[in-house]
Amino acid sequence: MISAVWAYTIAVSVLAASIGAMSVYERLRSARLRRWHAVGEPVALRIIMRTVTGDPMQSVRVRIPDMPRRRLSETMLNLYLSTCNVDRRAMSLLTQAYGAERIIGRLSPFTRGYRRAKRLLALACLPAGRRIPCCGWPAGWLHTSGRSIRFYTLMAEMTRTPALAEYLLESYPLRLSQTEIAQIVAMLHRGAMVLDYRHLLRSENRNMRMTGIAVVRHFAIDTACGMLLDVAVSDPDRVVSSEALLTLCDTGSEIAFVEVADRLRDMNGYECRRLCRCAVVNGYGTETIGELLGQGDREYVESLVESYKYIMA
Amino acid sequence: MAAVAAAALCEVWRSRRDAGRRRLISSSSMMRCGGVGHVGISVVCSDVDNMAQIENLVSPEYDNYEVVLCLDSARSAARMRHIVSRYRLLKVALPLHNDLPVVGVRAMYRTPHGAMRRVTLIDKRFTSHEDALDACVNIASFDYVTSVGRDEYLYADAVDMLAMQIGEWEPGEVDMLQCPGAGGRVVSRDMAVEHGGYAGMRYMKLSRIALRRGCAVDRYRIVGTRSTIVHYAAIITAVAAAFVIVGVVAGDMALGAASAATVVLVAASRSYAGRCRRCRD
Repeated sequence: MISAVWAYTIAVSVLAASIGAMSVYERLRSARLRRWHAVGEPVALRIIMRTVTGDPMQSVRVRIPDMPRRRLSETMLNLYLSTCNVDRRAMSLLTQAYGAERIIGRLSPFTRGYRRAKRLLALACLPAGRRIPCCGWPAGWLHTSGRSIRFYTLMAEMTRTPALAEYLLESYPLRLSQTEIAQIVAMLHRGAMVLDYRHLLRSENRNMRMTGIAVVRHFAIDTACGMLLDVAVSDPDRVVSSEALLTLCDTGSEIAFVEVADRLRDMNGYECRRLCRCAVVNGYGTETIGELLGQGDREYVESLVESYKYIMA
Repeated sequence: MAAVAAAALCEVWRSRRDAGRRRLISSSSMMRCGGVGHVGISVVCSDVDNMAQIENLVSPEYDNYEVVLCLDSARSAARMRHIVSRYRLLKVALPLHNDLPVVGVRAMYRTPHGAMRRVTLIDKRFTSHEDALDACVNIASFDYVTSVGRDEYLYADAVDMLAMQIGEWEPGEVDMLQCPGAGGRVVSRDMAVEHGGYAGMRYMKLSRIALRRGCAVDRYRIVGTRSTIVHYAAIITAVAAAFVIVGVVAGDMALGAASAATVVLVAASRSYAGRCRRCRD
């Protein structure tokens, strides 16, 4: 009869051996990936680049190299993620030829947690090939508890049905974070969906307004300054009005801070300082904003503005 | 021993989860164009004059990012001149009012407005590293600051990943982001000022601030083979010591074997966690 101590020793030894085996597996996996990055990926990248940078007026010739399809799909995805204004027609044909959506879609239901979220991100980012038919997923995952899975399901649905993007955004139940909004704007930049910033800014929904503000900031839409000022003055959510004010500073336009004096008085110390720093970094002077602030914040603004003045000698 | 083994297994589970989360953040930061909202990070350094390290710190292309260096011209005048000419820094006026009290600031230099790289150089008499970092925090332009020491280099995507992690929270909800393992701490500038700067934060109670746990190691040190050999030798010594002390001295071989197995489990789990943290793919 094995005593409890020996049983514990055997169990712990088995666990340690398993963890050691996992370490070895990770090391071998890293070595395989390094080999792929060094040898296979440059070749795949060259083939893909030749396809997508060809003459847009001619037909696209797709060449499928003798390489694992999953690796090809990942290389194509990485190229698409790190570039902008790539020929979407050629990318769509490549997506279809490599079967990228089928590969990613087949694997997604069998993964969990962050791995599933990453596959959903891949599905959302790939240009539309022959879209796999909706089989109840990923829409069903909008109701899971994992935040990242819910968000990337939303992204996948928005890129799958761009006409319903605004509706999906409005009906999303969680508050979108700055990181999530930045990703939506990135997909907008790549032409995967279409959102009208005017509809977004006029909406009563918090997510829509935040996305609209991010769109104005990203594309530097000067004509939206009036709408941003309305949002800054009228929105009951402090985060939204604060973001609108910061975006107004980013545009570099003339801001009548007097109109938002009430909102400035309601700001706490952190929000005030944040606005001061943003205004100074974007070149606003002390006279523009200093009068509306308290003594302490005014000294801070004056000090920061002084530290940006060059000494001419 | 059972508690130690359980803690080791928790570390393994957490490191696997963080590795998955890091891969997800890495993919999503790759697709992003532009900043994450208005999240900005200032890297503050004291007594860092190695040009290779400065080039590494200045290389991230995140929009709202700057590097603030603090050097003493009495100790490294030639290096300061080299930095000023390399980044075409212009002398600027000293700030009139400081949030944190510092002494000995002689001059300040900034990159021209609109330059691609934001670099600020402070010429200050060296008193202590904390004092130098406080001088950097005084003129930092962004909401979050992180200190980088000598011989610490940032990974290429470190700043993007830090910004993505901070952006997962509402503005003002993150006072400190703690990177795992050998990573650094990103602190809110206003929180640092409230607690008296880097000198005051040493005695600060972490339970009183909004501390968030990050998943990505942002920096690395260049170590040689000797430290790896020392590391493995320490593990072997610990295992042998556990067996000898408990088994032989206490006279219970079973207990000695159990303690040695626990030490091996802890070493394996730490090694696996370190490998997961270093994994960039």
